[in-house]
Amino acid sequence: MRSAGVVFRKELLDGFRDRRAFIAVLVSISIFPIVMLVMGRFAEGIQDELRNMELPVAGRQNAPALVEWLGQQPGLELTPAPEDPESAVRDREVDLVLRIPADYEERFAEGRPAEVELVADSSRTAGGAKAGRVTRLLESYGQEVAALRLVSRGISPMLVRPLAVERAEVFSTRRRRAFSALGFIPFFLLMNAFFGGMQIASDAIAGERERGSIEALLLNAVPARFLILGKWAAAAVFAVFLTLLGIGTCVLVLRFMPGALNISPSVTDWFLVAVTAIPLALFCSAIQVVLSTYAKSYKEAQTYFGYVAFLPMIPFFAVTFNWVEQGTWTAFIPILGQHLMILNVMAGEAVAAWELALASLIALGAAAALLRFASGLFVRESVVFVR
Amino acid sequence: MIRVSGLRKTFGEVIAVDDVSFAAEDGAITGLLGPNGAGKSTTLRMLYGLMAPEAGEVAVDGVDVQRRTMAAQERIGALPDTHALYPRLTGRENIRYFARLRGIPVDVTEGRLDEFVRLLEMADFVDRRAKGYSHGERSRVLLARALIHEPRNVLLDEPTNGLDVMSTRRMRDLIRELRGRGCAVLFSSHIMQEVSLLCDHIVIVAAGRVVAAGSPNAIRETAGCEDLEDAFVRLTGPQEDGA
Repeated sequence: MRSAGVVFRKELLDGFRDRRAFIAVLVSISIFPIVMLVMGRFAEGIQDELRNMELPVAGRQNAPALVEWLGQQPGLELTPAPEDPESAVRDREVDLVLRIPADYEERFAEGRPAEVELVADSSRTAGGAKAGRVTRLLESYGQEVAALRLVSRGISPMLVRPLAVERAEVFSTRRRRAFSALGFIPFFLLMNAFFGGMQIASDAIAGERERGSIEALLLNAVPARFLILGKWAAAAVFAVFLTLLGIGTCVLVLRFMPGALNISPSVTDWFLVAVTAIPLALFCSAIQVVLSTYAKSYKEAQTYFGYVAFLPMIPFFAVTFNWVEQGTWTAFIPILGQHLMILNVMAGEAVAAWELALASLIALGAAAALLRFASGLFVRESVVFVR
Repeated sequence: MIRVSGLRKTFGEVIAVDDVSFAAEDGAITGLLGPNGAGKSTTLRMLYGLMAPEAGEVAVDGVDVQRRTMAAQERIGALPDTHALYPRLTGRENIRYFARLRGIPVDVTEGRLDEFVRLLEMADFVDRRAKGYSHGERSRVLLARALIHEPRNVLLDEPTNGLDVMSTRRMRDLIRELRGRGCAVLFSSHIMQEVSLLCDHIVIVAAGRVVAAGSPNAIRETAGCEDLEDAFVRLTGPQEDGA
């Protein structure tokens, strides 16, 4: 055991000194939250613009009533239209223009559908969203007018609404938000847990063999299981560190991500997330130890990691596309179970302590089995003297 | 001392080592001499317990390497043929790592380290990272690392391979010093002069078999040659040609 500690400290030092690789890992895992943050800001910007938009109107004099109604809508400011609405929209001088033709009043009076034109460019996010809002406003104006017309003919407007559909949603708002908007959190954390130890595992095992230093290492009267244990522990420390760093980033992203999400998990929630994710980081590091032991070279190890990179994605898709019914058994499949538990914590639901404990034990047991297997493989002649 | 009897190892169709027996006595330098591919490295790997022989036995100070690998390895200091250090660690850290793995107390390690730094003239580079070492610098650190636990049995696989004159001399001096301390030194080489300069006992292997063994003089007599190099060629040559 003491020798495992010696290996552990040496591999940590070696790992830290491998600056370039270390920084590469940090960068690759921090890109995701940055993208999330930027996208969130962007979406928020569009929301802001929608809430307080200008609407250039051409042909105001043709529909005074409609223009007056629009003018009363909150967050909508009517402005004079440019000379040529089409080219103005095309040249991005304005996002959209509402054009009211000269025959509006005439058709309106005759009870025929009165046309209004919305000039917009739907290839632009802001243009499309704004056109959507104006369209909805115009439709509700239309319904108001329709209702008035029916009443003036002595018909109840209710008659043309034979059905009233109401949805009783049992999916709580927080839970729905958690599943849609926060689905990225368990995914992101599991990716960190999965790839955090990758660098050390491949360098300390496959790299050691590739450089040829393994032969001398195996001569030191230290059983292989202690060598593997030390190397795994160093990889696992990195994986746990990056997982915790990932949780920290999530806390920051949620804090600075604008209000649309409106979810702020408590400190206890985050603590639970960490407790759930750490055994998984240990398990994932063990997977990497096995792959690195099997691989002939550092590069080959990296290739194998590419093959298993889809593992943390499976639960993400399984949950997003409802492949699995969430039942008790799902909690005990490593990766999937942790993914669901983190999601539940995010959704503000209770996670049973025994479930968490059992899932963690299963992940740790699987890790132990993998390490045992790797220890045997590590000293196999065909593995040591592969060349 | 190391006793080898009836060792055999095959890789598929190839017989790498075939019925090899010899002994490396305490206080003596034994040379394992043979052309490239004669099975020297394979033999040494079975000696320090990294390869399992298909037949035969190896005993280090009477400890069976196959059955008690760890106990045998504790009695061995070895320089494998892959002369590799950890590039991101300094020379000193490389040596310390193995000392810690062997469980040598820190103060003892540091004392021996200083001794090796002086003996092998490593002061200029031992605190630099091993990445930029020259061949000679690397081999000195490797040697110190292999000997830091003061083993009674020293196995060196082609220790002077690629070394310049000065480094080779330093290596020879150290090998003689180890003999002086009563160690059993076994080293492999394909260079005749080296073996004839150093060895008390020579084991010549070719194509996996021992073709001659004995003191340099005895070898000369066996082959019927005055010159040891001629003897080497005569003893190993035919196998090389496949005859």
